[in-house]
Amino acid sequence: MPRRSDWPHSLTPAAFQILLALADADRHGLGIVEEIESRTGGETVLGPGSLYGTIKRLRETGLICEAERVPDPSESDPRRRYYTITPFGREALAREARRLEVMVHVAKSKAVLDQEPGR
Amino acid sequence: MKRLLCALFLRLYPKSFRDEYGREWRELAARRGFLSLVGDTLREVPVQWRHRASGGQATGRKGGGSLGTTLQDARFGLRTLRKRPLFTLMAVGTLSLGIGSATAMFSVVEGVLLRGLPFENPEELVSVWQTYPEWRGNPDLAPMWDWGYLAYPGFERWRDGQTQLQGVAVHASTARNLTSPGDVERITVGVASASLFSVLGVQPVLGRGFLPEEDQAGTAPVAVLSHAFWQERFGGDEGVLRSTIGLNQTHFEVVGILPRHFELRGLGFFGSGGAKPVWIPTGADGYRRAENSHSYEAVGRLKPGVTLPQVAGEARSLIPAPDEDPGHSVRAESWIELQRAGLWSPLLLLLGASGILLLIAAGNVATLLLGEAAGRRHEMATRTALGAGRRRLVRQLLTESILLGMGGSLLGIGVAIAGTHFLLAMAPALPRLDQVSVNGSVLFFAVGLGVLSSLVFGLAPALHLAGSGARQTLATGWRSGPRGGNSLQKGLIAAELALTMVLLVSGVLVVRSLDRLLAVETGFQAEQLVMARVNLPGYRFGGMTERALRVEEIQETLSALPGVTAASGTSSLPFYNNPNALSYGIEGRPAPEGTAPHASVMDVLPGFFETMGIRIMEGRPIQDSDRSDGQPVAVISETFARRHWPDESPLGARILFGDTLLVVGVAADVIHESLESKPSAILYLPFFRSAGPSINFLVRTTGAPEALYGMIREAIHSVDREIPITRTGTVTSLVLASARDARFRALLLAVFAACASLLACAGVFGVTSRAVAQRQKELGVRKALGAGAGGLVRLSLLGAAGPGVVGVASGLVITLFTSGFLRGFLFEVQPWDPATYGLVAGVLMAIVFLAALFPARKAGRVEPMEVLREE
Repeated sequence: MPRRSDWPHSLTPAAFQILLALADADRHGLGIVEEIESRTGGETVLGPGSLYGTIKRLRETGLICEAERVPDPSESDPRRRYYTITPFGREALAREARRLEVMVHVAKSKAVLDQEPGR
Repeated sequence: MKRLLCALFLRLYPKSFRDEYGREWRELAARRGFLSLVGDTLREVPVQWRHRASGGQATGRKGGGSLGTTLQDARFGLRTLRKRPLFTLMAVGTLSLGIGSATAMFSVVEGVLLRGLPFENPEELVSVWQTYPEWRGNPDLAPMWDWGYLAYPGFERWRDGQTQLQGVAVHASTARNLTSPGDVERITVGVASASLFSVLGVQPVLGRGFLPEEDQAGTAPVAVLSHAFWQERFGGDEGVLRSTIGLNQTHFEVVGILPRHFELRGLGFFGSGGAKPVWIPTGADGYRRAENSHSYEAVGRLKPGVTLPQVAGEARSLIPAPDEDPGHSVRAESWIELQRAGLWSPLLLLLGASGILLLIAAGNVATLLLGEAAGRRHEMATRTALGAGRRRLVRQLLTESILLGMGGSLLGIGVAIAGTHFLLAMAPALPRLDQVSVNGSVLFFAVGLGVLSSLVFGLAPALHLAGSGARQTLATGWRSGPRGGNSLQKGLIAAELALTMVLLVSGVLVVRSLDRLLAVETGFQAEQLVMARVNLPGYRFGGMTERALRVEEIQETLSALPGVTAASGTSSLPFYNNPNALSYGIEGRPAPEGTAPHASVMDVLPGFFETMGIRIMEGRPIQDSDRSDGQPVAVISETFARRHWPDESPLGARILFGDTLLVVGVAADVIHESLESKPSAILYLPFFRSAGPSINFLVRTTGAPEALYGMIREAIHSVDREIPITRTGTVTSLVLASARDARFRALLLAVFAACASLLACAGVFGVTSRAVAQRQKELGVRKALGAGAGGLVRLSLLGAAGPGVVGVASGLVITLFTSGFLRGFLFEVQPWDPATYGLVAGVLMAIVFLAALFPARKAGRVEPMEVLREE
C-alpha cells in the first residue's frame, strides 16, 4: 500500500481528468476517454499513450485500482478491464480540486474573470 | 496501413507496458489521427522509459536505459552532423529528392487506387455484359464484342427472375439541355434504375433516391443531383429540394443529393458535363426503354457464396437474345476491377520509376557516408580503444543515418506536397483524382521511406567503419587505412549507374515514342481550326427541315465572320466524338450471312473537306447541291475504297445504306479515335439528308483561334438565343489531348531520368574527388619518380572508368530484362531499340568521364614536395 508521502503534490491534467471520470462510476479505458470527451465537449482528447501511461502511474501510486466486478455483463468485450478510484485517489482528487478552487478564487479576487474572453 | 503504424508506435514502449496495456492501447489508437498519435507517442514514450529506468519496475535486465542511450546517440549524432554542414546538406537534399518524388507518386496511387471506393463492400459488386461471339470475326465490331449493353426490357426480365444476386440495377449516360435555371446548357444526365443507389450502397446526403414506381414510364419526373452539380449550380443550398430544374424543357422535381465522392466510370462519355451529372429515373427516359435500345450498363450485388459464372449463366437464360444475334451470351466481371481497369499499370510504372530514383539517392548518400568514413576512421579507432564495443559504434553510426533519413523525410514531404500539386495539374483525367492529397498514410509512407532508406544506405558504411581494425589504424595513421571502403564505394557507384541506365533508357524510349506519336499524320490540318458543338433540340426546332435551315443559317453567319476562310460542320469530329459504326452493302456484291461490312458514318456539311484540309483523292466532295431531293450521294475514305475496289476506281459504284448511294468521291484517310489508332473506313453523307440534333461546327481562321470563341458564340446565338453550345475549342487541343497520357508519362520519366543522371554524376564526382584526395601521397611519389601530369590524370580517370563500365554493362542487362514492361506504353518504338541503348550507354559513359575529369585534373597538379613535407 503506498504511503501518503508518495502522492504527487499536484496531479497532471491527464491524471486529474481520469480521476474525475472515475469519481462517479467504474469505467474501462475507452469509457474514461469517452466520458472526458463528452464532459469537456471534445476539448480534452487523450492519446492512447497518455491514457494508459497515466493509468499505469495512477495504479502504481495506488490512486486507482482494477475494479473487482464488471458493472455491465452485456459488455461487448469481456476482456476490458475496469478501473475504480481508491479512497486515496478520492482524497488526492479532492485535494487537487480544492487547490484549483483556491486558485480560481485568487483569480476572481484579481478580477481576472471580469475581463471578456479574447481580450 | 494504420494498423502497421500503430504496431510500430507501440513497439517503442517498454515491453512491460506493451504486455500490460498493448491491447487496450491499440483499441484507442485506432480512433486517433496520425498526427495526434505521433504527438502522443513522442510525449509518452520517453516518460515510460525514464520511469522504467528509474526503477519503477526493477527488472535487473541489462540495457535498461536503452532509450537513454538512443537519445544520447541522437544528440551526439546531431552534433556531428552540425559539424559537417556541407555533407549533411548534400545527404539530406539528395534523400529529399528521392523520398519526395516517391511520396508524391504514392499519394496519387493511394488516392486513385488504394483508398476504398466510396461504395459499400464494392468487392461484392458484379458488372454484367452481353456478348456477341460472332462479332469477333468482323474487324469493325471485334473490339466491342463482349461489351454489349443491356436493353431495358431484358433488364426487367433479369431483375424479376434472378436469384443469385441481392439486387440488380442499370444505369446509362446521356446528354440533355438544361433549360432552367439559367442559360441553356448541355449537361450530362445519368439514367438510373430505382435500385442503382441501394445496390451500390450509396445513401443520398439529402432527400431520397429513386422509388420503384419511378421506374415506370409516365410517372412524375424527378431528379437526383450529383454533389458537384448541386454545389456548382445551387451553391449547396438545401432549399433546392422540391424545387425543379428543366431538362429539354420538362420540369424535374429535385428529390435528392448524392454524396460528394459518388462517381461512376463511364459517365461523361458524351463529353458535355464531365462527371457532374443530374440523375433521372429510367421511367423518365422513353427512348432507352425500347426493346432494341441496348444502352444500359448493368451492375448487381452478389449473394454470399455465389460465383461470377453462376451469375452469368443465370443472366444468359433470362436475358433474351436480340433477333439479329442468335449466338449472343452474357458474361459477368468484378465491378471493382472494371472501375480500376487500366489504372494500375501506368501508375505502377511511374511509382516504380520513382522507387528506382530513391534507390539511386540512397546509394549516393551511402557513398557520401563511406567517403566521410575515411576521415572518421581515426575517431572510431580511438573510441574503440577507449572501450566502445562494435555494436555500440554501429548503433551510433546508424542513429546518424536515421537522423539523415528523418531530415530527408521532412524535406521530402515538402517536395512531395509541391510534387503532388504538379502531378495533379499535369495528370490526365483519372477517377477520384480530387481525393488525392498528402494525408496521414502518405506522411507515414514518407517517414517509413526515410527510415528504411537510411537503414539501406547506413548499414554498409556503419559495419565497414566500425569493423576497421583499431590497432592497425592507430598504428599506421588515418590516411592509409584499409581499402575496403573504396571497393564498396565503387560497387555502389556501379549500382547507381546501372539503375540510372534503367531510368534513362525508359525515359528516352517514352520520349521517342511521344515524338513519334505527335508526328503522326492525322490526314487533316488541325492548326487554325476552331470547333463549336451545338445541339438543336427537337422540343424547339421540330423536324429535320427546320433544323437543316438553322444549320445552314449558322454556317452562313460563321463564314461571314472576319478572318474566317472557311466554315462547315460534321456530326462527329475526329478526336472528339466517334462516329457510329453501321453496316452497309455494295450493290451487286451480296455479303454472306452475318459478315456485313461496317463503316463509320459521318454526316457533313458542304465545304467540310476544304475546311478540315482533307484532300479529295478522286471525284468531288459533298456539295451544296447534295440535298434531300436529288440523287443520294456519298464520299468514301481511302480505306473504304481499298476494301472493295483495290484495283479500280470506286466512282460511280453504288452503296446500299438505307437508300442506294452513288459514290462521287474518295477522300484521304483521317485518324479518328486517337493518335495510336489506324484510319477506319468512313462513309461521308450530306448532313442535310438526315440533319441530326447535334453538330460540330468548324471554322478555319487566319488569325488567333482563341479570339474567335466569343464571335462564334455570338454568331450562333444571333440565329437563336436558345441553342446550347456544348463546347468551343481548337481542334489542335483535341488532338493533343489524345496524347495527354503519353505526354504525362514521358514528362515524368524524363524528370526522373534527369534527376537520376544528376545524382549519378554527383556520385562519380564525389567518389573520384575523394579517391584523388586519398591517393595524394601515392600520386606525389609517382610524380617525384618521374610520372607526367597526363599519366596521373589518366590513372585517376581509370579509377572511375572501372565502376562506369561495370555499371553501364550491368545496367544494359537489367534494362533488357525490365524494358519489356514498357511495351504497352510505346508507340512505334521497340522496347529493345538498339539505337536508344547505344545512345544512353554513350551518354552515361560521357557523364562518368566528365564527372571524373575535374577531380582527376587535380591529380595532375599534385606537388610532390608538398605531399612529402606533410608526412
